Amino acid sequence: MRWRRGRRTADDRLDLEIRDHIERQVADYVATGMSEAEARKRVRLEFGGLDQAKEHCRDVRPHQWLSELIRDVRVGFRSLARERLFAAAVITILTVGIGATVAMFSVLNTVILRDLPYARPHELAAIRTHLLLQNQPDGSSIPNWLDWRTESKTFAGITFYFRTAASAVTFAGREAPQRGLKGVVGPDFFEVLGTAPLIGRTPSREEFDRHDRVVVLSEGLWQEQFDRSPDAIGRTLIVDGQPHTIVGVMPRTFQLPTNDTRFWHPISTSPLWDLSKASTLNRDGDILEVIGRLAPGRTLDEARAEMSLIASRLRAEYPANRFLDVRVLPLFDHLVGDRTRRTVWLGFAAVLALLAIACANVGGLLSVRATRRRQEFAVRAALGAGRARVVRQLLAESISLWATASAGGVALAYGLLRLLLAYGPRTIPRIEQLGLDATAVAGALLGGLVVVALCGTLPSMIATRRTSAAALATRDQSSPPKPRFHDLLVAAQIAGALVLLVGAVLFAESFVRAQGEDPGYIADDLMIVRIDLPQIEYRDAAAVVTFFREARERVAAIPGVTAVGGTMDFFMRRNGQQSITIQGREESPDAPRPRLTIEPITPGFFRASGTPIVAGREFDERDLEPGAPGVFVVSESLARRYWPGESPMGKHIVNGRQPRKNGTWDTIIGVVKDTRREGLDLTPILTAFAPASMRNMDLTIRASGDVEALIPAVRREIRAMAPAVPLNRIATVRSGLADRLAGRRFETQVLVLFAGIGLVLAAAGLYALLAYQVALRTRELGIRAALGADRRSIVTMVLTHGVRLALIGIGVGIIAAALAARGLQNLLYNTQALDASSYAASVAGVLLIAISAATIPARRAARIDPITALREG
Amino acid sequence: MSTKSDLPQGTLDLLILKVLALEPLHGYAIGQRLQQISRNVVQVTQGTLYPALHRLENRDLLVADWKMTDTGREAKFYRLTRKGRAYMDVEAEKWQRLIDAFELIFKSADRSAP
Repeated sequence: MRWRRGRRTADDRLDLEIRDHIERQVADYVATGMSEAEARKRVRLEFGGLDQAKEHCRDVRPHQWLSELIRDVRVGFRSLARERLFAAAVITILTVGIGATVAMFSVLNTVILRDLPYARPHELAAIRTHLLLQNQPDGSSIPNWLDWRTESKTFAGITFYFRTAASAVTFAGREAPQRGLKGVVGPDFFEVLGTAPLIGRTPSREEFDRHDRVVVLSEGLWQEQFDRSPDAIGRTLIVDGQPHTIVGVMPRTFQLPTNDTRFWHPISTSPLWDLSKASTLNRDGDILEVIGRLAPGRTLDEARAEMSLIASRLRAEYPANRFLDVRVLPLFDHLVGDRTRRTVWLGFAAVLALLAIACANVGGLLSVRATRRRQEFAVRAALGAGRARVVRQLLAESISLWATASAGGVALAYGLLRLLLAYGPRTIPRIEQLGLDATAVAGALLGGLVVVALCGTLPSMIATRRTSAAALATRDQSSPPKPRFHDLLVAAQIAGALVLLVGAVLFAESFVRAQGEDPGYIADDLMIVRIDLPQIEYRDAAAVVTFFREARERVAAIPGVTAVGGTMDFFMRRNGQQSITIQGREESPDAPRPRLTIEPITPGFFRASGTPIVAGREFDERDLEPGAPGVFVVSESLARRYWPGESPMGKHIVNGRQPRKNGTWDTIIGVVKDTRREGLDLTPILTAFAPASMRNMDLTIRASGDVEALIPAVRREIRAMAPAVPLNRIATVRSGLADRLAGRRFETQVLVLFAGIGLVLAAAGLYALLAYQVALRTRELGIRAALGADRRSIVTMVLTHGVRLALIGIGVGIIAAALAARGLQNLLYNTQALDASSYAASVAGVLLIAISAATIPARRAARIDPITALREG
Repeated sequence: MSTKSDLPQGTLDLLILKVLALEPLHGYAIGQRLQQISRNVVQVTQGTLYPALHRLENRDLLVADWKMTDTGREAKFYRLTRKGRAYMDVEAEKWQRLIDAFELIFKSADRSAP
């Protein structure tokens, strides 16, 4: 029967052993002549506390502390189940605090803290042209890049990349054409970054020099088109009508120029690439993003010193470089960007404020509970529970709270991250790599445990420090332990809530101002259809003009469409790289000029987009005809800049830095209002419009009524003309503009949400404290009432205490908010970070909520019936 | 009765080991034996004895076997392990030295007293 013994629990065996002992003792006593009943009674007396003896035996078991803890935790859960409301409140608050913190830390770690996914990322630097006159960074030109690469010794390699407008891509043997952003890359691009391809290889130096048409796919495109099959290598990809051979696939983490780059090809496949002619190219700022890898042992400072020497030599040598300098910065800083960094740190600071409020709130709840339980602890102590035992029990209760809240918090964080991925702004770099972060989870769980353990045990330990006899005898609960401590917790919550509210108000104001900007055109009922004509079929400019004229006519004929036009890229951020020369004001070609953009548009664009024409006329079909006299329409800001106080109509200009060789000039035939298309929060750039039809255009369609209902008809008309043209970018202007404010909207939403939670918590915290204090003082208030204190004075007394706490919190909060606001200014649009009215509104809001929260316990205090209070007290 | 609390810390363990060095015994018998040998000077309550036994068992100084006894019940018999015997020898020697030292001090103190 040995096997059965194995199944007995340790407790069963202990029972058996003790019983054996008792039986033997009884038998011995009976042997001496005692009656059995008497013997048993005597044994029981001798043995003393049977359970106590067993407990001592259990205490010496080696795994004791663990099973003991588990038992305590179980008891903890049970005792919390008895106080559901309390437990639910603490767990909810902690869950929100932990969940939000874990989610935000995951964002912080993914976007800001994690290294770039390239080999030895700290050696990588961005080398940027700096415009001295405008004091702003810019892209670089090929001649400058070439000089930097030749002369620099501190860099082991200097290459570049840039992005272009999306290209139409078709896989040989497959139907639907696609649009995909491509990265155009300089020599040794992949080698400098040091990332190995997933499969295949990267373009070789020979292929680069031979101008071979090769491409490297992104993992995303590979997955979509080839289902991750290695057969992709060697297949043909048709890019803008040109067949290219696929040589490799880069992993998902490889995200230059952008995280939505679909493929890369060497710049040498472009017919324009000819280094022997580099000296004839413009040296001004350009579109190259130059990057370099530091030579072994070289530092960024050495590279800075060297590059600035090279830049000053180039300034002396070339007139076009006269106002150009070079800036070298860690590639990480260039890619992640100051704005992103500030935004994410702001979010993290906000979540920490929220967490602090949550912790203070939970601390308050736990300390109230501990005080209420002083009598229970006194009873336990009197029954022989050691202090350590009581603390252990409290700890176990805290752990039960923490465990539940942690599970909830991690689940909440996971949900929040999924939401963020689905609806969050796409503009944040690396955001798609977001996942629950192990460090964040571990950190939050550990931090949560510390907070809960401290809040759960400290107040009780203070409570139990008093002599248990006093607590037992008097049931005296009128002087809670450390009332100041609890007051401070509430004031801290109010301070935190105010900081969050100020932030939310500032961001909301900034967002509303940005959203309320006048676009300068009629953004409603306007739709954009992107059309990219393949280079091969539309090589001839006349064919392009014909296509777009026909397209405009066909679409305009759709019932509901009121006007159609076209522009090169409706939402594109115009970089202002071009310049014009004005007749009679010809300057040296090297003179610095205001930055402006020359935008090609079709006839009908102003009418379709609803851009008001201030003077003159819109382009018409005759302006597009070959040999037609050159014409321009300029924006109001451009007109003001060059012809202040006079009309630009009829003035003669040409595109470029010098007059044409043949001496002809173009004429300004119209002035239009400034427009904001690249984003309502971006100031309009000086623009000169020229009539043209490009292969890549945004068809701009105005409709009367529901513009989206017209999409199928528009598709049908374009398909009928050109079945091979991809039509996967169709958007209303309103949604496009909203997308461009998505980042601001998101920041605002997060802050408003946090501020809301913070306010609710702070109000609940204040309410709970005052209600509790009123409950404790029931007897005292009863006496006061009995002695003739009128209700109003009692209400005032409680309210005053609440308001005093609120004012302390508000005072601290204003200072904290003002300090935090300094880091916030760059994130705000047209809003001062120290905007007095925002602060005043926030303070008023917090005060109002605090008074409302204090009113309930104040009125309860006033309703205390002296007789009941004295009898029960 | 009062002697139980006078037992110096650690001595109970040693006494139990010494008793068990002769033969394996169950808990009740150990208590009885201690009482007998010490002529009732050492009285151990069950509340002290059993935790001590369990502690020694957990330290691998004792092992226990369940054996059927004449009472018709199974009883838990403790016996000394090799480790227990070694421990007992070392501890006993320590105690002996302490007792010698104790005696020496008390006797010399008596002598030097006028």
